[in-house]
Amino acid sequence: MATTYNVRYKNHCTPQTQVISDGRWYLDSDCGRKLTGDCSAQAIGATGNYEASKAVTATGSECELSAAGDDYEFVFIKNTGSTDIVVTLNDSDYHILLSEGEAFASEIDPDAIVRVKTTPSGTSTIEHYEAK
Amino acid sequence: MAVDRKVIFGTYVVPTRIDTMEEDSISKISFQDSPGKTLGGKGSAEIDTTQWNDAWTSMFHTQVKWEDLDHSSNDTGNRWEDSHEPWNGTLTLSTTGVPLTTDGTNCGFLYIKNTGSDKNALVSLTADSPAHYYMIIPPGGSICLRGNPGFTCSEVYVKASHADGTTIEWIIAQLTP
Repeated sequence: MATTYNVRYKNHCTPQTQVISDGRWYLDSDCGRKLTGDCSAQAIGATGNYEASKAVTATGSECELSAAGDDYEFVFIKNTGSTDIVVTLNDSDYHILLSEGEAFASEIDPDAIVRVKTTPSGTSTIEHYEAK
Repeated sequence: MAVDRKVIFGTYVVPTRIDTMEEDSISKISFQDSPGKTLGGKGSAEIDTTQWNDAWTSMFHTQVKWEDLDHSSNDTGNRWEDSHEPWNGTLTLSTTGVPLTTDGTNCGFLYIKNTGSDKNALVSLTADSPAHYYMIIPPGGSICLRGNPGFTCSEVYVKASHADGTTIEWIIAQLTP
């Protein structure tokens, strides 16, 4: 019996526009359609690292999901708390914002250093999964 | 004319294991023991009603007509010399990193899909000084994210992982000021 591992993931979005205030939301005419991607993460060689709830504070080093040498190649992060959180992939530039219920999933370079902190302060929790 | 804009977005992840018989092609696919379920989240990004020009999306609406492209303001209009949109809605990438836009305002939402069939697309969120191409999009895959205020549209750089190149489609939207 041979066992292999796989992570299939989708990221999708629907741009919408309103043509009168407080009116109906329509599919944005600058785009004209819903957008989605669907693929399997490559080179997943083992079962991943999953944690249903991890505390997040305003200090990024306290919530490091992938450190140098961990070599993770896929990351999923969901904000399960009520305070906004921000995510960096390079240890210092917190460019990704997640509010309550929102999630981020992507294949990442093995050199990425993934950290999470709250913005601008407070505490929150995340659900996260990494694989390599 | 739009009076408001937003982008609804979501993420869906299925971690699985595949057990295959050695002497046969029979296989069983099941959830990985941990998490043992699907993962996901969804949200809504508020974006600026008036984007810098129509190039905030890589595509034209299927019903657009040539005469609709009549916004003649230099740089911010939607005439061909100002919007820089690829006619077929996809941008061909080489191994040289390029910005999706030079617009320096805060990025409210970013979506990029690799529409190629063979090579990965790489994404940097730190411009070109230095770029960190830490996000990898395989063929058919996509990424989406909300930008943290301070992260600007001009910091998004993209390139292909291989000299054969690949293609992408995108949305890169300004944050509501």
